[in-house]
Parts: sequence; structure tokens; C-alpha cells
Amino acid sequence: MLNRSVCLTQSQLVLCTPYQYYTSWLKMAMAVDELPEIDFSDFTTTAASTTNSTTTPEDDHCHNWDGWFPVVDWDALPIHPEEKFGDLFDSEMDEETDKTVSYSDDDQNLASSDAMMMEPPVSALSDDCKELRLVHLLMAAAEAMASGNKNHDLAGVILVRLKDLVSSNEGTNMERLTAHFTDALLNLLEGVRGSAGGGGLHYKQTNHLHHHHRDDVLAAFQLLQDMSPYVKFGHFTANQAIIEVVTHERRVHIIDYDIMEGIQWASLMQALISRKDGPPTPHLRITALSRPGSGRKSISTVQETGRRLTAFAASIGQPFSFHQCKLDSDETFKPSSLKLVRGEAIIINCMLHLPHFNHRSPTSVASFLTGSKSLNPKLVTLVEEEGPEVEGGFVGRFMDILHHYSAVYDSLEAGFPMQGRARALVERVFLGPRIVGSVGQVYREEGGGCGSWGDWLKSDPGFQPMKISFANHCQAKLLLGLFNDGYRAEEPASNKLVLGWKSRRLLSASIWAYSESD
Amino acid sequence: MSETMSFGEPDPDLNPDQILGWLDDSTLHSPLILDDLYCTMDDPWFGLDPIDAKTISSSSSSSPIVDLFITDQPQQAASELSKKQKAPEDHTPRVGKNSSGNKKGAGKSAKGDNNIGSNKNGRWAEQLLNPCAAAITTGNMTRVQHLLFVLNELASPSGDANYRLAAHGMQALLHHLHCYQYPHRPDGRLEKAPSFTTSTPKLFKQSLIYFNDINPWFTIPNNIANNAVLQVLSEQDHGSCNALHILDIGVSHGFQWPTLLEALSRRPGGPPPLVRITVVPPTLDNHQLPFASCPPGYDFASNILRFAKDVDINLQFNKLDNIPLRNLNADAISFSEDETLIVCAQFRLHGISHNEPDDRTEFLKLMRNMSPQGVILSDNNMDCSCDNCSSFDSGFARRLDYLWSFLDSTSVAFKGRDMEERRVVEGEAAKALISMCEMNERKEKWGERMNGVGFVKHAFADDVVDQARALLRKYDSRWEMRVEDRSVGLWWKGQPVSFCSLRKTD
Repeated sequence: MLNRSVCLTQSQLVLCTPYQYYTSWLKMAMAVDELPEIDFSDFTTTAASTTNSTTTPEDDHCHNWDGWFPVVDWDALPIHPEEKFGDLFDSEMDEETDKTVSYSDDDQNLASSDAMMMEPPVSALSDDCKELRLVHLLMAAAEAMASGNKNHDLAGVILVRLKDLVSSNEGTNMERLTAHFTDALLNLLEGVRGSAGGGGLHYKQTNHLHHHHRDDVLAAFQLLQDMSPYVKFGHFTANQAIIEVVTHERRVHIIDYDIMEGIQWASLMQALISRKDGPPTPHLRITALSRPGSGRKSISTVQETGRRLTAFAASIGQPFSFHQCKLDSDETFKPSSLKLVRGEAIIINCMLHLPHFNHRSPTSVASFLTGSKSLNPKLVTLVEEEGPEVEGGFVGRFMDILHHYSAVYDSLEAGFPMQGRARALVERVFLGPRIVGSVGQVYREEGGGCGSWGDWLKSDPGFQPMKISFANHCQAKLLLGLFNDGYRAEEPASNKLVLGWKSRRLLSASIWAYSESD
Repeated sequence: MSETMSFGEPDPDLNPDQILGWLDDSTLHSPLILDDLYCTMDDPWFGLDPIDAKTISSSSSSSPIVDLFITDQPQQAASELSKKQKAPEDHTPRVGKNSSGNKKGAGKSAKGDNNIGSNKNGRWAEQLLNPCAAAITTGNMTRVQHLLFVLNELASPSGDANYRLAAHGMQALLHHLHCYQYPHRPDGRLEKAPSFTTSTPKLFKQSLIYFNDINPWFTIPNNIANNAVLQVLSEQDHGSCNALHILDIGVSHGFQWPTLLEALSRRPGGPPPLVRITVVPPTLDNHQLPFASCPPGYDFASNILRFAKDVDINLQFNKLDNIPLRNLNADAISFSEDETLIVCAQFRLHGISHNEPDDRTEFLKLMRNMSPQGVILSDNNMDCSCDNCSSFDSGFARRLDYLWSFLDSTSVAFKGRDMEERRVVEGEAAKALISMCEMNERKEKWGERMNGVGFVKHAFADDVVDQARALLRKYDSRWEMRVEDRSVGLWWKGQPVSFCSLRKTD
């Protein structure tokens, strides 16, 4: 690993910058004098041991890598036995077969393709049997909820049965996953039954982190970063593009849609400072959007993140200033309220629905992206969940989300087969609420479009795809190489990198330039 | 023992004990909460393990879906089963707020009452069963399999009415698939299902007695029929010197008649000099008509003769074994001219085919030829679900509708408790889902037929109706009696269940 990192100059690679910095910085700045009670007992990383070490920017970063990534030797790790339900869905989603798995809710006929639910041959192992049963039940529950049917009694009965069968803390991947999807559907059901007069569904912000103990959230976040490339992939790809674009800029202003804990920017600042050759470090300004009432419901508040980033920037000598842009409760973005400085390069950073993110409504995102046009940004970085691969009604898209998250669960298990409790924590704190959010979103949108935000940008003539550099692509591959080799990075378009697990695309990172259209 | 049922004195309080005194087991035992009947792996009735080691391929007809649900691996089935069987039993009462468990089921039904006619609230089993039947009709085996998987997860013979309907319905669909796949192979599943014929005589009696005590499904038609007999007798102009001959083509298995005999014994002027009851049981090849058959070894002849003696009635009792209905005539029943013949046809005639050849009309003509003084006809008041009258799925939907009324009213009657007796009668009713001879008709259609062969409708006397209404008050308030066009209809939660009518020759 050491060799691979050295062959590319550090100014070009963000990867070299160790994450140990940020997380330890994060912890220190969280003002905990001692380690929080994070149970790493079943997580073999030595992460716990590094957090107390005082780090200085001048440390040989690469030297400390091994302390950060798990002790497991990736190359020696046997390939995880074919994930059971991955295959189940593989045939369903197989591009070669007739891909018209259309679940229109008027006629409940599934595609005539035999593959659905039939292949692969079901073994007599009761595990597989149970998984098959769970899938059938989930699908039936989704059908019952779909707007064409509204069989809420039936949905309720099925969900009760599911709750009897699974727990979110124990069992196989599929069982835990089913538990979260059951909760997601129950959430829908309660929303539908609760809404008086049967009016439109009330959109609830799923401020999930609210329900978890702060320490759990921190621990889960750290685990998520360490166990998977999901967070880093988006950050690194965006940051690399930013670095490449601001090479000669003196002032950089990043407007961040959802800053969360800010770790992306610590990484960027580190990379900016580390540019050994090249122009002096630009002044970095970050404006973070903040929403009313988020308060304690996030890993940290926007203000706290701002304070921390400011402190971190000071500690590494990065010229920095931080601003907030407060949104109204309807989350309409008003670019005019931003403080702009002449000559600064404006970067729009839009991270959406990463595992540890809150759910954001389409109106809010649309408002942000539309508003950003008037700022004439130099670069727009967009990271989002790779969208549903099926058109059609609620059932089809629900099953697609199930496929998506089963791939995510699989990927975590592949890397950390023994760390069931750690994975369960990440699932509970982050993935479960994401599932609830996604399912809710799809339910509300039923019948509407399901395009991605990338498509949205593409359809706007002002935004032009910007090429992902070779270095950026390499970096992504390097990053994935540190994890299980089931991960893959694809470049389906010149401006887009997609992170996938086996055959399932999970996360896409795209970059865009903007010029005012005539 | 003071109540009388003599005609002319409306007497609302019926004391069941006196009627039941003639039975061997004179006391109703307290209801038993039975252990799950189907916990054993060798009970194939509910011994379903959805996963078979075989590969399922919808395009290959050699691996039919029904094989999926036949347990070939008892070991696995047992563990699956025991896990599965425990769950429904347990979770039905503690069911969460979103589902229709026992109590909630009843509660939901109550809500559904408020809109008479639209009774689909809380009926989730049909939302799986009907689409499955539709998928069978269109040949969409993927969908069939999916729905059967789901049904298998939810169905339970011990849950509330929905769960039971799911269980019976699924069995019926599997049976249908089995018959389609293996037309010449009998379906072993059926032989083990609880029903009248698979019960011991003792259980059978207990079941029927208990059921009639809490659900008026048969009690009311029987009551009306008995009183109608008395009405016919009283309307005869030449006194009561004739022998009374009742031709019993019914499903009461003897429980109906003691009440009548008692009432006859208290008639002003005394009972008829001779009372003959000729019972025509279904022929041996016809097991499928719900409620019509009884366990081998069950025989109420001696009991009823003994009872008749106790109430001083000169009773002649005759059972025409294995004589098909089409062979009935005056000779077959040993009819003599000076008898008052009254035919009591209850819930049996819908089993006579009404397709080409129209055996049904032929039989009605036969009846007419016997010149009875009265014909009491009771039957299900619903549309036909046979192959000629409907497609498989619409016919199945009708059958489900019927069974739903039965299961729902029975669930209420048993107050949600699970008992062997309950399963027996429900299993018997569930035969309607698979019976090839279920050819129901609406009461209007019956009326046309009867008129066509020379019968005329005759109104029930007020007292007959009043007594039936009074009796009905003993049962759940969601039962209704509606007198329309001189026939009496029995309705459950605003849906028609059965009708009862009296006819004389024109």
C-alpha cells in the first residue's frame, strides 16, 4: 500500500491524507477528555489506540496508515461466499434478460421472466428458505401499501408477521435488513392511518440521529468510515475535482448543501496545505446551509462544525473563514443572502443521502441547485445514491431499494464478517433511518419521476459535465483497493464515477461546470 | 321444563336443555382450549413447508407449484412447522395495533357494520386469495407462487376469521392446483382435514350442539321449519287425524326434530296418531356437500325413538341409505294416501346439478308428483360458483364470501376462542370452497323453479316469524331476519346468508 501511494505526487492525491487526522481532531474537538465508551471489542482495528495520540501535521502521513485501517490483510481475505440474496436479485436485475420488471400497480402481474423469485434454485438450507419467505412478505407488504391497492389491513397483518420473524439486531443480513424495511413500511402505514381526512402524506423529516445516543452516533460514524469506502469515495472524488479546478485560484468559496460533521473539508484543507509545489494556499471560505431546528439532531450542529473547522484550519495554517446560510423551514435557498467576495471561485458541493445523512426533500435540493446557478459556480460536485434502476410503481422501486441496501449490507459483511455488532450499530444508527427515508420518498413520489439529480443537472443547459481526471479515477480505485475487492469503481460517463458493490451500483459522484446559457 | 312450543302461543324463551336431554351427553362440557391440532409433522392438512429442495421452474410442467407445498422432508417440516404453529397461536391475541387480531378483528367488524352492504373492511385474506385465484385463471404461475408463499406465512387455523379463511382458502387453491396437475391422483390432504366425517360421533355431536347454541346459521331455519310444519297442520281443514309424514332432506342430523315432537305432543287436540320421519342422507359418493354428511357410526335413530317415547309420540323413523335424490318417489318413501306429507328440504337441494341435464328441475317435479301438503325450502342465498356459471376466480370469490360470513359469525359466536368443535364446523363449511356440487342460487331463482313445477309460495304465519325473531335475539345483534316477499331471509352484517320459504301445491 505504501508503494502505491508514493508513486503519485501528493499534491495530486487527496488519498494520502490520513483520515486519522480528522477523526482524532473530531474527537478532540468534541471536547471529550477521554475516549467515549465506544465498544470496539469486535472490531479488530487499532483505531482505538490511535485516537489518543497527538498528531502533528508534519507527521509522515503514510507511515501511520496501517494504524488506521483494519489489521486485516485485505489481499489474504477470502472472498466472501456468494451472498445468498445477492444472487437472488442478480438474476432479477440481469441486464441480459428482459429487463422489463415493471411493477405497475394496476395490473399486478410481474414480468413473465422466470427469473423473478425462481432462480437461483433454492437450497434446502433453512436460512435461504427464510430469506425467500422474507422477500415474498416484504414484496406483498409493499404491494398492499401501494396506492392502487391501499390494503392497509393486509399490510398491517404482513408487517406484524415480519416483525415476529426478524430483529434488527440479530440474524443474517437479510433478517436485519428486513427488520428495517418492515419498520419503514410500518412508518408509512402509521403515516397513512394517522393522517386525518386522508389528505396527502405529511412529509416528515426523519431526524433519525435524534433518537440515538451521541456516542453511538460517533462510534457508528467512525465504523462506517473504517468499514466501507462510502463516505470517503464521495469526499475524495469531490475534493480531488475541487483541488484540480482551484489550482490557480486565490480565493475559494465553497457552498455546502449539507456539511454534517465537516470531515470532507478537513480533508480538503489538508490537501491544500500539502501541495508542495504550486501556488500558495488559497483562502478558503465555506458557507454551510443550516436548517432551523436541526439542533442536536445531527452529529453536530452547523455552528459546532464551523468552530471545529476554523480551529482545525488554524492548527494547520490554512486561511479560512466560515459562514452559515440559514434556510427557512421550507428550505428555499436564497443565493442573494450569501456574502460573496469578488474574485473568488465558487464551488457548489452537494452531498446527498450518504449513509449518515438525513433525508432531504426534492424541493429543497432543487431549490439549492437552481439557486446555485445565479452564483455562477466554477464547479458543482454532486454525490448521490445511485438511483432506482426500475421505473414504475411503488412496489418495483421498493424492491429496488431493498436490492440496494442488501448490497450495502453485503459489502459491510464481506469486509467485516466477524464484526456483527459493529455492523449492526452502523445499520441501526445510519442505514435503518436511510431506508425509512428512501422508502418514504419513493412512496410519496409514486407515479412521479425517479430521475437522479445528475439527470436533473444534465437536462439544464447551463450545467456541463466536467471530465473526471485520470488521477481522480485512479484515486478512487486505490481507495477501493483498500477495502474488499467486491467494490468497484466505474466511469459510466466522463463526468461521473460510480461506486458499486458486485453488480449493484450504489453511489455516484459527478462533477459539473456551469456557464450561463444564452 | 315449562316452556311450550305449541303453536299459537308465542314463547320466546326456548330452553335448550330439555331438547338436549335426549342425547347421551346431556351436559354441555365447558369449552376446551385445545392445543394446536396441527403441530405434528405428519399432519399434512396444515403441514406445509413452502420450500422444497426441488427447483421451481414455471416453464416446466413437471414441477408443479403444488409440490412446493407438499412436505417431502419431514425433519425440516417439523422444525419449520413447530416454529410456525406456535407463532400464530401466540401472536393473535397480542397482535399490534395495525393488524386484525382476535379482539381487533371483532372490533373492526363492528366498525364495518355501520355501512351496511360495504363489508370489506378488515377482510384481508381475500385480498390475497382472490388475486391468487385470478392468477391461476390467467396462468401466471410466478404470481401464484408468490401469493401462496405469503398466504402460507399468514394462514393459521387458530387465528381469527381472516387467518382461518386464509388457511382454508389456501388449502382450497392447492387442492385445485393438485387436481389440475394430477387429475387422477386423490388429494390426501383432504382426508385429514377436520370435518363432520373425520370426527368421532361424539365430537360431531358436541360440535353441532354447541354451534347451534351460539350461531343461528341452522337454528333459525330449523326453527322456522318446525313451526311451519305446525302451521301446515293447523291449516288443514280436516282436523288432525292424519298421520304426519316428514321427508327430511336436510343437514340437521336429527337435532331439529325433538323440538317438533315436543311441540306436537303439546298440541291442543293431541299429537297426530302417527308421526313418520323419513331421512334422506346424501349418497356415499357425495362427501362434499357441506354439513350433509355425518361420521360413520353416528346414528340418531335410537335416540330420537327414545325421545318420542318420552313425549308420547308414536314415531316411525326411517333412513333411506344410499338412495339418490333422483330416485325419490312415493314408493321409495312408502308414502300412503292418508298421510300429510311435508317435505323439509334444507341446505341440500343446491347440491343437485342445475346444468345440463337439469336434474334440479327434475327433482322438483318429482317432489311435486308426491303432492306434499307443504314444502319447506331453506338454502344459501347466493349466486352460483360452479364452472358453468362463473370463471374459476369469480366463482372462488363467491365461495370465499360465503365462507367469510360463516367464519366471521362463528368467530363472534365462539368469542374468538379456538376449540376443536369450532374447527370441525369450520372445516365442514370450508368444503364449500372445493365442492364440485356447490350450485347455489338466489332465492328468486329458486322461486322461479318452484313456481315452474307447480308450487306456490305460502306466507308464514305471523307467529312463526315472531318466534323466529324472538329466538334470533339470543344471538349476536349483527344477525338480522328480513321478511321479504313471503320468505324469511337470514342476514349477517348486512349480507344475505340464507332464505327459508314455505310452499304448497297449486
